[in-house]
Amino acid sequence: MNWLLALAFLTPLTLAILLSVAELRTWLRPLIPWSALPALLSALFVPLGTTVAWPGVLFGVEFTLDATGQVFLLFTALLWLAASWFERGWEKGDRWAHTFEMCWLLAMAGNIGLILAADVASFYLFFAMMTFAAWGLVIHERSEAALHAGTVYIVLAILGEGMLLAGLLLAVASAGGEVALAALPAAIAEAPWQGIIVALLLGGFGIKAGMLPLHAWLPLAHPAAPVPASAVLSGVMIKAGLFGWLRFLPLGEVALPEASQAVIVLGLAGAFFGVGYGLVQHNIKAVLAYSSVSQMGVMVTILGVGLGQPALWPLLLPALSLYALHHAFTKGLLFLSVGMAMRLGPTRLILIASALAALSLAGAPLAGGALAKGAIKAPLPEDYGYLTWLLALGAAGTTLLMLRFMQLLRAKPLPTTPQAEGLWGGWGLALLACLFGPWLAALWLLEVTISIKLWAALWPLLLGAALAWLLLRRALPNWPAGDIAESCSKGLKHLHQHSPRPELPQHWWQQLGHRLQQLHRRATAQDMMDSLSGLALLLVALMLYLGLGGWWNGG
Amino acid sequence: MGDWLPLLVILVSALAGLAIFTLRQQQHGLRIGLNLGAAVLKLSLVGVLLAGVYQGKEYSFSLPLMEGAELLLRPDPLALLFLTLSALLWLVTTIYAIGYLEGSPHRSRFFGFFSLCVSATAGIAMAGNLLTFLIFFELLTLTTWPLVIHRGTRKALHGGAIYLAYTLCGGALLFIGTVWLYTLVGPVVFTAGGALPEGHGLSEHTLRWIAFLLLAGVGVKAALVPLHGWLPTAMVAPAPVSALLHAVAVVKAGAFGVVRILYDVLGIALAQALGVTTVLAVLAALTILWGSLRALAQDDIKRRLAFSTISQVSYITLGAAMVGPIALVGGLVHLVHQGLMKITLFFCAGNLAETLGVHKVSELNGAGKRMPLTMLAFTLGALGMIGLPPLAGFISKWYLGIGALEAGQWWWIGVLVLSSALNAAYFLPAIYRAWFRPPPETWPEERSLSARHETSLMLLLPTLFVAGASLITGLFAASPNSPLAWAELIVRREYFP
Repeated sequence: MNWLLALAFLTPLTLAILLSVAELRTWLRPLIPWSALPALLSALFVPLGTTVAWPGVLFGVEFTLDATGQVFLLFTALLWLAASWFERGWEKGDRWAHTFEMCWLLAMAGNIGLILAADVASFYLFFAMMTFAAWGLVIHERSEAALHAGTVYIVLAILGEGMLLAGLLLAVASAGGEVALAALPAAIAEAPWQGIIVALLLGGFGIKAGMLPLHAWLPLAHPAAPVPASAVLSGVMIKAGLFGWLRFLPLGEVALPEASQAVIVLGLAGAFFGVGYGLVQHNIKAVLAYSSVSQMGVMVTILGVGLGQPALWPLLLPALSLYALHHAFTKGLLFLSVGMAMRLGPTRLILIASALAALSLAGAPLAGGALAKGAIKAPLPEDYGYLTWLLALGAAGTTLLMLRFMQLLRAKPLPTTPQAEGLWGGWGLALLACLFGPWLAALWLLEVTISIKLWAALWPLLLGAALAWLLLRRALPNWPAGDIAESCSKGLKHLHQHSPRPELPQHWWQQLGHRLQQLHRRATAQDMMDSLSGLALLLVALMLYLGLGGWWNGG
Repeated sequence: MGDWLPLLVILVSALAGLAIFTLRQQQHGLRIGLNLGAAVLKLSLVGVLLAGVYQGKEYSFSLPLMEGAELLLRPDPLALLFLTLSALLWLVTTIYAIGYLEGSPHRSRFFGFFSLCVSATAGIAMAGNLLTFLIFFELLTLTTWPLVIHRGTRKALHGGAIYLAYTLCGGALLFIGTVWLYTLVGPVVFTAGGALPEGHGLSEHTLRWIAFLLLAGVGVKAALVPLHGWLPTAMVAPAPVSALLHAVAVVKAGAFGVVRILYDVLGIALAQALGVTTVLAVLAALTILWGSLRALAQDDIKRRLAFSTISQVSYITLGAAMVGPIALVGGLVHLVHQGLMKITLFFCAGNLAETLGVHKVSELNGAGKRMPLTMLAFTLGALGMIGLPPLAGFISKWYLGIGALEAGQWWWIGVLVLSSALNAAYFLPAIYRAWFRPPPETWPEERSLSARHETSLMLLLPTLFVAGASLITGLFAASPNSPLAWAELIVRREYFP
C-alpha cells in the first residue's frame, strides 16, 4: 500500500505541475475535484505504520501513517474532497481561475503532505507549500479587502515560518542532527534550549492555529477568500498548526508547568474573545472566522493541559483529535452553507442543515459536538475542575455566536437568478461528514470516553439562547474584522501620513531620528555613499581589530 | 599527462579567448564554434579531474618562476567544487550570451575577455600556493573590467572605474600580505590545517597584520561590508556578465579566497586563536543583513539582485568563519547553490529586459502571463534565496543553522532567520506582481524574439537549465552525486577529518 500513501500527496502536486502546461489543461481540469481521493483512501485503507522512504531526497525523506496522522488525514482529505467538488461548481470561469486552481492544488498537497511527513525537512517543505499557496487563495478576489488581508496574512506567515525554522533547527541540533520527527519530542524534552524551542514552536504554529494574540490575520483572510477556500482554510488548514504542536512538542514526555499555564490562559482568552468579537461582526464569514478562533482556543486549552500533565496525554490526544475532526467538518459545512445561501438564498434545507451544524458546534446533546466536548472533559482531573466550567461557559458563548450566525444567514437576500448547479455534491458530502463523522470516528477510530450527560450539555445551550434573546434583538455594532491587525495597520498608516514634517521636530531624539532618516535617504539615493562610508568603516574596523586583538591577548 | 591536466584546463579557455580576439565581427559561426567547443572541452577535462580527485588521485603542475617562487596548480577537492561550478556555468552562460548579444557590436572583444575571465577563475580554483592564487586573482580583475564597461556608456565607464578602484586596492592589500608572508616564511603552499611551518616564530602582531591584509584583499571581491561598494555599480554590465560576476567569477573568487586563507594558509586553529574568525563572522553577519536591507529599497531588478548577492555570498564566509564541520559544509555548498540560484535570477532579469524592456520590479505586473517559463525560473530562484525547501538555498541554510548550534554559536540562527524574512520581503513582491497582477496594456519595450516561444530559445533554455539545477541540487541533496555530498567529502577529507 506504499504507493497509495505516496499518491496521497503526489496526486495534487503532480496535477498542479501538469496544469501549468496549457495544452493539458482541458484534459486535466475534470480531475481536480478528485485529487484528494487518494489521500482519503489512504486514511481508510492503508495500514498504520506503512512507510515510504526516499533516502536521496533532501536529507532523506520519509512518510508514514500513524494513529494521529490517520485521523487528521481522514478529515483533511474528506473536507478537501467536498470543498473541491464544491469549488468546481462555484468557479464562474473568471480570469484568475487558472492561478486559483494551481494554488488550490498546491495548498492541498501541502496540507496532506505535512500530515504524512515523518522527517523535519519534508514537514517544513509541505507546511511552507501550504502556507504560500494559501496566500493565492486569500487574495483571489483581488478586491481591496482581499489584498489587504493577503498582506496581513503573508507578513504573519513569514514571521511564523521564521519562528518555525529557528525552532526546528534548535530541536534538530539538540537531537544530535536527527531529522526523524519521532525522535524530536523526546530530544526537546531534554534539550538545553527547551524553553526557547517550545516558545518558538508555540508561536510558529500558533500563527497558523489562530492562537491569541497571533490570530489577527485569520478573521481577515478567511472571509476574504472565495467560499470553498474559506471552508478549507478555516476547517483544515488551521488544524495544521495544531498538528504541528502534536508532532513536535514534548507532550507526554515532560511536564512544562509555565508553558502549560500560559497556553491554557491564551486558549481560554481565545475561546471567549472569539465569541465576543465575533458578535460585533456583520460579515457572516467573519462571524464564522471568529468562531474558529474561539474553537481553536478550546483546543489550545486542552493542549495546555497536556503540556502540564504528561501522564494524561494518552487520554487527551484522541479526544483532541476528535475535537479537531468535529470542528473541521462542522466549520466546513457552515462555510459551504453560506456559499449555498449566497447562490440560492436562505432556503429551508440550507437553514436546517446550518442549524444542525450550529447546534453541533454548540454541543447540543447527541450531536457530534457534544461527543467531542464530552471526550475532552472526561480525562480532566479534579484540579482542572474550573476548566470544565469555563468550557461550558464557552459553549454558551458558542451558542450565542451561532444564533447570531443563523440570524445573519436568514437575512441573506434572495439572488435574482438562484442557481446552485454543481454545488450540491460537495455540500452534501460535508453535511454527511458533519452529522456522522464524529460518531463514526469515536466508535471505530479513536479510543475516547463517550459520555452523554444530558443536563451538562443542555444548560450552556439554554444560557446561550437566553443571552441571545437579550442581545440579538437590538442592533449590534459593526467593528472591523482583524481587531489587533486593523489597529496596527491603521496606526502605521497614521504615522506614515504624519511623518514628513517640514520643520525640524522639537526634541533632540526626534531630531536625531530626522537626521538618520535624511542620511538613509541620501544613502539609498547614491552609491557613492557606500564607497565613502565603506572606506571610513574599513579604517574603523582595522583599528578595532588590531586594538581589540591586542587587548584580548594582552589580557 | 595527469600532471598537465590542470594546466590544460586553464589553457583551453585562455587559448580560445586569445583566438577569439583575432576574429572579425562577421565570423559568427567560427566564434560560436570556438566558444562552445572550448566550453565543452573544458567541462569534459574538469569531469576527468573530478573523477580522479574523487578516487584520491593527486594532480600537481609546477613551473618555477624565479628563486623561491613557483607557479603551482594542485586541484584538491575544494578546488574541484569551484572549478566544476565555473566550468558548468561558463558553458551555460556562453550559450546565453550568444543569444543575448545577438547583433550587438564588439562581440569578439566581449567573448575574448569572457573566456580569459573564466580561465582566470579556473586558475584561482586550482592555485596550489598563495603566489599562484594572487596572480590569477589579479588576472581576474583585469579581464573582468572590459566586460563591466562593455557597453561603453558613461554609466558603464563610471561603474568600471569604481570596480577597478576597489578591486585593485584589494589586490594591492593581498599583494602586500603575500609578499610579506613569503619574505618571512618562504613559499606558502596551501595545506589543510595551515601553511605556516612549525616553529615559524612569527609574533601574533605580525600574523594579525598579515591575516588582515590577506582577508581584506579577498574581502573586496567577496563584497564584505564595508568593502562592497563596487558591486551595485558594476551591475551596469550586460546580463550574462552580471550573471557570471555574481554567480561564479568575481564574488565567488573572493569568498573562495576567504575559505582558502582561513583553512589552507593560516589554518583554522590559528585563525581562531587570532580572533580572525570572530571578526569575519561578525562582518559576514552584518553584510548579510545590510545587503538585504539595501535590496529592499531597490526598484531596479538588477540592483535588487546585486544587493542580494552581497548578502547571500556572505553566507559562505559565515559558514567558514563559524569553525565547525557542519557550518563549513553549509558555507561550501552555498558556493554552488548561490551560484545556481543567482545565475538563474540574472538570466531572468536579462530575459525580461531583452524581451519586454522590463527593468524594474514595479513593471513586473503580469509578467507571469506573458513569460511563464522565465517567471517560473525566477520564482524558483527567488524561493531558493528565501531558503524554502526543496530548493538549494534551504539546504545551505539548514546546514549553516545546525552548524551554528553545533559550534555553540546559536546567535547566528537569528541572523539566518532575519535574512530569510528580509529575502522574502524583497522577493515575494516581485513574484506576487508577476503572477497575481494583471499585465499592462503595453510593455515598456517589447521585442519579438521568437515566434513560438516567449523569448529566444538561446535565452530561455539556459535559464530553465540553471533553474532546474537549483531545484534538483536541493531536492536530491542527500544523493551521493550532489554538491552537498561533495562539500561533505571536502570537509571530511581535508579540514575536519
